[in-house]
Amino acid sequence: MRHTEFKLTTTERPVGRIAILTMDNGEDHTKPNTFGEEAFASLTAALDELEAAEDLKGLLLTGKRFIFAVGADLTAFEGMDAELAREGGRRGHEAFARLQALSFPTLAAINGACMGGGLEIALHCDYRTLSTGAQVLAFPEVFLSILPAWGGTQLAPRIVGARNAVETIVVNALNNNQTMRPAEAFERGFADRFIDSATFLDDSLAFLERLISGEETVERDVDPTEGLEEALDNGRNMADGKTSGATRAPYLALELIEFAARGGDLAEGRQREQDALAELLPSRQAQASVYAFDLVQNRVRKQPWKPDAAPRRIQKAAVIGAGLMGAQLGALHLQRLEVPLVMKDIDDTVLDTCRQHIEGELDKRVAKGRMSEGKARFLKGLVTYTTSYDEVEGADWVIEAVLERMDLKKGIFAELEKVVEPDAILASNTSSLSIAEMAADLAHPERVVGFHFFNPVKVLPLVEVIRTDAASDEALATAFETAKKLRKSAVPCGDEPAFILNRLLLRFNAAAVASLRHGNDFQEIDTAIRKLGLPMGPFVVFGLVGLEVALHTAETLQAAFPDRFEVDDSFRAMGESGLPGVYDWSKGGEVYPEIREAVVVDDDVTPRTEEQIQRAALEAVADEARHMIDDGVVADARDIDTALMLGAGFPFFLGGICRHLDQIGLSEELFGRPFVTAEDGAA
Amino acid sequence: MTAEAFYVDGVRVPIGRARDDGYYAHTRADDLAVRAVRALLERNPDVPRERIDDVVWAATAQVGDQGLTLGRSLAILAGLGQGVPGYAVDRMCAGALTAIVNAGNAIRVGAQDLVLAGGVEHMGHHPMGAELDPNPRFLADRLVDPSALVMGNTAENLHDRFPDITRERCDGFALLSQERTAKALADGVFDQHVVPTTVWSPDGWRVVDVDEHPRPGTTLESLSGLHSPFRPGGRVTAGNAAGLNDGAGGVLLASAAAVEEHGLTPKMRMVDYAFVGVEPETMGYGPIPATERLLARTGLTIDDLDVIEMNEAFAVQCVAFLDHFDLPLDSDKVNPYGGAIAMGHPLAFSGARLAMQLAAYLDRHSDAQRGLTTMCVGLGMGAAVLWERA
Repeated sequence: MRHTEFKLTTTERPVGRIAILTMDNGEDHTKPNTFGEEAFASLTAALDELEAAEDLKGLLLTGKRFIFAVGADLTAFEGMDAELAREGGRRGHEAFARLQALSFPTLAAINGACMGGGLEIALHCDYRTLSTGAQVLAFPEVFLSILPAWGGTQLAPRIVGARNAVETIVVNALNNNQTMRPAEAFERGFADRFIDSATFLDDSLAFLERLISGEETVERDVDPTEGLEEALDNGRNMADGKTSGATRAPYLALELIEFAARGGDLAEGRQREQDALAELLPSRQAQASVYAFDLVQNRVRKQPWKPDAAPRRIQKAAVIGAGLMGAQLGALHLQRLEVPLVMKDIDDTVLDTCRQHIEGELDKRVAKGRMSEGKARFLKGLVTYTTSYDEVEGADWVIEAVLERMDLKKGIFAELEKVVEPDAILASNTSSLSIAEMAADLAHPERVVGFHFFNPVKVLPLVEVIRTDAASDEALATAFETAKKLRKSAVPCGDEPAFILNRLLLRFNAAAVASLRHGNDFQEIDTAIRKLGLPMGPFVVFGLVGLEVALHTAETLQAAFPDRFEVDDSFRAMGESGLPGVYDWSKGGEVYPEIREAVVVDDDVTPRTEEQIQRAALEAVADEARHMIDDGVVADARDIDTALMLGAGFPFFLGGICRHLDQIGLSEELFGRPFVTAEDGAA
Repeated sequence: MTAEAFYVDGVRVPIGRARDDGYYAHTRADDLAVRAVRALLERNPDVPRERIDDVVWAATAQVGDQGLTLGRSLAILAGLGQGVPGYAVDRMCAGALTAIVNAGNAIRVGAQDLVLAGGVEHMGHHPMGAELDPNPRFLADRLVDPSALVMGNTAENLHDRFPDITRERCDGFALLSQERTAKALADGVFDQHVVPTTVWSPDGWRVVDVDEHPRPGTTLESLSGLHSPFRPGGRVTAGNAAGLNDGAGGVLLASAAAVEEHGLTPKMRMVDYAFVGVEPETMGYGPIPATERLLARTGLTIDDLDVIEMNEAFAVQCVAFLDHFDLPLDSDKVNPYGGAIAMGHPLAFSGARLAMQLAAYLDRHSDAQRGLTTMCVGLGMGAAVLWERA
């Protein structure tokens, strides 16, 4: 990608000569402006000119069409050491401070996407206008285990106040990198004027002219300390909740925001940002994040696995089984595909509940103003709720979500084959059964794919696309294309028990659960796992998945891989307990006595330390990942990491898990080689 | 019985040259029109945007960034609100003038109260004729001579028809156009309707605020040395013809009721108009019969007109008009601020510029009461609109 140039033009206005500084990398809007070494050289040259000019009355800084700037070039972060990181911070500080020190009024006209360093350079101008067309504004740094270190943590509290600074830099970033819409950014105080995109630059220039002439002034009434304590608490709670302290970035960011809000010296603050960057950027958390970011933001979206065949055009879809999962699938298919949809079940009561769910989801969108009533009515009218296969006739894409019984699923596919065209695609949402076996007796087994969602369907972005040896390119291409249309992230995997995510999670969690036999307590185990930086410990996960389902998956895996998956007595007791989870949330999260009593502690053991609990789980998941790669269930470690991040919320700073296992040396120790090789994008 | 239609205000962007390095090489035509529409309404803050009854916009090439029924596109793109309708019109060079007449007529019959009318032509994005497919019958059935389809040739034909109009006289008229435009620019005549516009360029964003086409240093010598491209021994040159240009702009027309309700100050009243057809081979003759018809309809003579804003497609067409009405080459009342030879001629937009300059003239000459805007039109037409001080 070409580097960003700072292009300087001037215009003679009635108030005098005004400079226009345009950030432009010469590419279209799909390749946004970023700041690397060459960009700073260009900015420095422009600053030399601006400082030398004697007759300038003002400066307008803006971006190329649709893009302001999106900050540092992430690819430059890989393998960076502390000194390079510090130098990168210093370079930005020096240039931006010179911009800030210009003797005439400066206006950042934020015309489009503005993130990280882009927002920081804008904050160094005296004034800011924001276009109604600037759809994305954010400080994403903390999401990547670094922090805004070109003055962001120091200027944001001064300009938008501590509360909004924490909200934007820490809370939004940790909240799955939530970005601000322009109205929200304006509301928070990131701009002085909010201007219609139609003539944004014309009107921004006119605003600057009025500022220069004194016709207009900007009043900012910001007390940086207002709500500071509460904001810091809020930020710390968010960081604790999301990372359990496993990455330092949010905490350092909060310290820096506090320093600035309490009136800390700006030069000193910049120094502290450089120190923080020197610590964070080379850290394993940040390095893993860069890897993770590429997997989740780029690679999975490009679908490198999609066969080069034309996907089947879906003009009618059907879901077989309208229970809890089927209803969710129905709602998703209806809203994203917007084609006639058949919901087929054997039970009218189930269909009624399903209809309520699907229509309720549409009503919710209408209530939130995200869909018109007319559109909702139209979509509702597209759905047929039926107990008859006849209605499925003509469907191009049928997905089954019935009970996990092979005979049942085979029977359904046999029925379907009678009513759909020979090349219609049949998909199964099974979480553990063999797709090949399911398809074996069909006249056209090549049309069958696994298409495995995760609960709750609306929330979790992952879909495992399971390919059998028989599957046709068209069927797979249709599966990938459908995933894209459903706005899900598809990761391919082989037709092996429990596929990718459930298999890995079960092995990982079972290893943690085994610590019960060493005399460790439930909460102690959950806490140890959470401290790795995971969103929840194994017992909470089992509660969400359902104890019975967890046991079923465990048994399936035990049957398939008896030497690696054991179902111990405690585990079995949990699964057979009939309880809604391990913890009784009605009693403040106590462990249900039945489950606690079922624990059998081995003889002659001492409880594991926190590190030992973690180590046992990591060794287990490492071993399983190695098997999956070696057995060809996945092509390489990146697919595993992508699935863990998108399906189970494994954090960027672990890079899924394989990158982390490499970083801590565990993969080297166990297998004598890393998971992620240089060809996979490792530094 | 008709109501009155008033010209309230007009705004345009600076006219650019239709070249790869011209002002608007990297700017969409519709964005130029959006700039003009928004600036026009910004200058008239008492006019509620959602009360605009229609947006009537002209372009000759109604494709690409000039397609999608421009008036309605502009209503949406300029943020006038979903309730504001619009449409596109085309009468080639007289596009904007036709848009203004249509808008004025809607007001005159009492159907509408506030209407925006204007035009745009980005001749850089839409070179003349490039997107056309003329019916072969035009030539096969000898409906027109082949020369009728090339505007420069129609100007040469006009020279053939009026042998008294020599190249020297045309060059003299062209020089006058340059001189008058240079003076008008120096006097700031256009400042009241030209808005500075931010445009993208490979060097970054820049601001254009003055017309790109005029050549202030033009002399008779430099004009007489120019090559005549349309035929060997021809008389029409780049110096005594309008340029190839990009531009956009429009005007706000209002009914008496709207003027009163919104407290507007109208500058002119649209009195009457005439469109005529003439031989396509000498389309430049059009303004003469159009003006004659308009004078006949209103019982006026050429002497009753205080000022005439005539589009300068070609000097020969202007000189023919002056000769016909026994006006001297340097008549004070014809194109007092110069014209398209100096300023450029973005086809369907130019009529709006004529109206704006007529309003500017009335503003600056309190004794002037009545004016004419007139143009020749391709395929053989003439257009004339009569205005009176409001």
